[in-house]
Amino acid sequence: MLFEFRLPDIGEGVAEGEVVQWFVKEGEAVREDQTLVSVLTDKANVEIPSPKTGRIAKIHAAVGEKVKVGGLLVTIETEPGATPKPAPPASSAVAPAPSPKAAAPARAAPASPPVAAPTPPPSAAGTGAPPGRVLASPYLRRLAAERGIDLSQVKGSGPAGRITEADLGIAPTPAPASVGASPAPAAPTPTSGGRAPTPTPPPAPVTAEVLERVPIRGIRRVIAEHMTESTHRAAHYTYVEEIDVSELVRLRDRMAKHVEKRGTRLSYLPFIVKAVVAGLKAHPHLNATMDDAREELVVRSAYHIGIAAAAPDGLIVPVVRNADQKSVSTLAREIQDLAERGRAGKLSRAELTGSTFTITSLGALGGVLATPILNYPEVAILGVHKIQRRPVYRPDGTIGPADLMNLSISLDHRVVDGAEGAQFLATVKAYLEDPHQLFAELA
Amino acid sequence: MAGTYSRSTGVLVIGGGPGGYMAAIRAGQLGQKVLLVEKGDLGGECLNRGCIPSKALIHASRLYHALRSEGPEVGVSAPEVHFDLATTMRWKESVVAKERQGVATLLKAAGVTVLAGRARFTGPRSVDLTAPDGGHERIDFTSAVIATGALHTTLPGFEVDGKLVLHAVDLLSLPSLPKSMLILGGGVSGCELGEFLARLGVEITIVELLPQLLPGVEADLSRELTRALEALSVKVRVGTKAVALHRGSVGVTLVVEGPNGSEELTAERLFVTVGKRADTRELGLEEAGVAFDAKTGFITVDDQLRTSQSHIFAVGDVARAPMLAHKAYREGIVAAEAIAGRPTRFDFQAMPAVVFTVPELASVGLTLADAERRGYHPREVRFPYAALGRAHASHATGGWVKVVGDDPTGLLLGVHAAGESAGEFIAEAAHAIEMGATVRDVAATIHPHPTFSEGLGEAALLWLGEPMHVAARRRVDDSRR
Repeated sequence: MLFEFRLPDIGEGVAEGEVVQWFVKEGEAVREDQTLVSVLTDKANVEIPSPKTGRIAKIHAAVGEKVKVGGLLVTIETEPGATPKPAPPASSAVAPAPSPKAAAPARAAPASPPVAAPTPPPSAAGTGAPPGRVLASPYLRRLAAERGIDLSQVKGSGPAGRITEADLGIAPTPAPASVGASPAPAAPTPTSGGRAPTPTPPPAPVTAEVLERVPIRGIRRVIAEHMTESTHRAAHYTYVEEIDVSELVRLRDRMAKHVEKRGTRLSYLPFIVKAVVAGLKAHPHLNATMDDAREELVVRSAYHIGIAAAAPDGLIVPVVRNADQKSVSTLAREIQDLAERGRAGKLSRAELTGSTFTITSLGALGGVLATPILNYPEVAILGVHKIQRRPVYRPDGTIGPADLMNLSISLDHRVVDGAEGAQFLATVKAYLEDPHQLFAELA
Repeated sequence: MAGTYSRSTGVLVIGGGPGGYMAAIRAGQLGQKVLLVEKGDLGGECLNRGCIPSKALIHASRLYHALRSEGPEVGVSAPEVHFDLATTMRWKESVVAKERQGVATLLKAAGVTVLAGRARFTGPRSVDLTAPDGGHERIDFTSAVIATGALHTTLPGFEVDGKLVLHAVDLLSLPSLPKSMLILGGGVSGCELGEFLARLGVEITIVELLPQLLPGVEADLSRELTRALEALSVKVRVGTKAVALHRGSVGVTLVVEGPNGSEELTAERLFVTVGKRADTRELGLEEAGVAFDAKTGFITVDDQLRTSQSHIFAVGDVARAPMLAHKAYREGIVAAEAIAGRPTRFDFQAMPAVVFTVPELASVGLTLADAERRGYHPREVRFPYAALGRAHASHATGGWVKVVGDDPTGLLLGVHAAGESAGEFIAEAAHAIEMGATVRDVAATIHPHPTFSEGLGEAALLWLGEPMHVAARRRVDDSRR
């Protein structure tokens, strides 16, 4: 049985609509209430649901075509035995009453109230709620929008069918016992570290869906605040380069034998630190910190390189001071020492502050690409990824193995433009691909 | 100055009225780089030529009129009360200037750059800015918000000349009071400004084509206003069409045709206020690929205020009716949040509206007829101001509060009121409707005594059949049986 579906009266004096998008194709199966087509009227985009379950026999209006109310949109072949029933009119959501204009002089053109968000007709099934209106507070409607919940599909359990937080499976916000009655706030306890005392909110209830609530305190809070400040202030962008470190791998292997005799593990980091220092010498504006209060870039003369490292309580950034004056083996020893004492929580404040540039390495887990967050107020941070052996084309056209590593650098675009960032990383790349150059940088 | 200047911005806002400046401030708060272009004064129609200056003039005329009309009865006599139009106008200007400065300060605090000039799209991502000195500048943008507002429509044959035939703008800066004035158009501005002048002794006649003043407003609210205006000796001609205008040397003659045939009305001045139309002239919408309705002039937008170009938004009077500043405010915020990628939409249950006359008229939500059309089973009641202690004590017993509710569910659908402070407590009704409140919720809310807001609480009780301050037949509550 063929059912002809015509553009329903969308309301508010709409006479025609332009087909914006079809969500079904000819020959496709369609369920009742499934969105068929999006139609642009002079007021809004309206999504029109299918009145029938069946198969799309023919689409009569192409995208871009205008269809008058009552004009043929689509023919649906309904399933045999499907009970024919009248097509539900697509209802526009609640629009306000025609209302007097406020002080704006003169009346508008014939008052056609704005159509609020077109929503599919609420499932009239037994909600008891009157037609065409979602009953929920503005707060709840916003929450639903943020979580992608279609409130018209929710059955409200409140008075007159009002939707409550419980209906959405959301724990109600804890409210004070009574508003305005004898406020007796507990005296705020001063906390250490000069933090302004903030009243502690009452503990939130733990509901079935919540496994645990982990307080953000101590180092974690410092990290949280630091990261937030960085993302709010700096204009981050990230640039990624692929480095052929085959030569560096060979060099490290040979040097490791010597260095490790003295009890120091030799990773790639000391080489990367040296290459970074060489890059910074060529691009001094990246070895700098921002003084936002004075709107000045403070270019630094010393090369103090922060090395981000995981610690039990969260990320720490110990600092290798004057990295430009130290040999690869000295750097290796210092980095190892800082990391070990960092994990044990035995670093002094001086050892954790004062960096001018930061390197963050995830070691063997190092992934392919990252968008590191700047160690504010620094203006650059380098992310080091794992080395992978992969086939590459050589200049002579043959294919062979190479050790490849990606470097991701995030920069503050307020002061470092893309070209400069790219040039810096190109310098670092050149040193790492031809690591013998690094000996020229030896202290 | 040689060469073409150019700059680029994240968000370009065209128009510094309520919709535009809210969009700019919100976008700035959300960390966007914002540039706002305004061809005239910041604050737009509302602040410079509408809501704010008219409220200032109305306030002054009420003070003057109250001293003369009710002062003696309540024991305040001021035999020598003078109304000095020039001083009132100066005060009004100072109010507007202060507000305008406030907008500039807020924009600055939000990091918004304000440029003077007219913007015209030269493509979907750029505009040409004509500065007041005639210089040109190209502005490239990532997103744009069109907030150019609306223009007063004119009637052929009744064109404004600024001398005998006036616009609202002329009226808001009248150099002297005429003896008499005709007002063509009985909408909000015709009624508010007509009443302002009538209070100062100007003979006013209002001519309205449709069968009531304030077309579109509930008939009983309109009737209250008509009665009040007539008490001020305002002549009201509704269902009356203006057919011809003769401009003389000292005044005008308007030929009208009404239910009682043809009539010639004469006065020193004619004030034409027959509606507004979205202002999309000279905007270059075609170049930007932004669709608009050729008939109404409105730019087509969706529920995030996006136009047919999804990175260009339109807010306020240029986008759709009703042409209300508070609607534009919200639309500006929604557009800015959409630009910043926030989950947002223009989501509301009811749009309040207020007419600043005596009695003040206020309305939010559905009328009885609207509610019936939408499939509710509504019922309405009216609670009279005469039953409010505060109304008597404030010498303002004229008026009422009407509550419309859905009978089977008890859902609050609408509140309409005429009377002192109606425009203030209507906000409570708007909030209740947004929250999905029932009439019982409103009745159970404690309203402070003695205030006009008690009228709303009492009207809700009356709707429930439990009135406390109007006499109801005594009946035994047997609902607990």
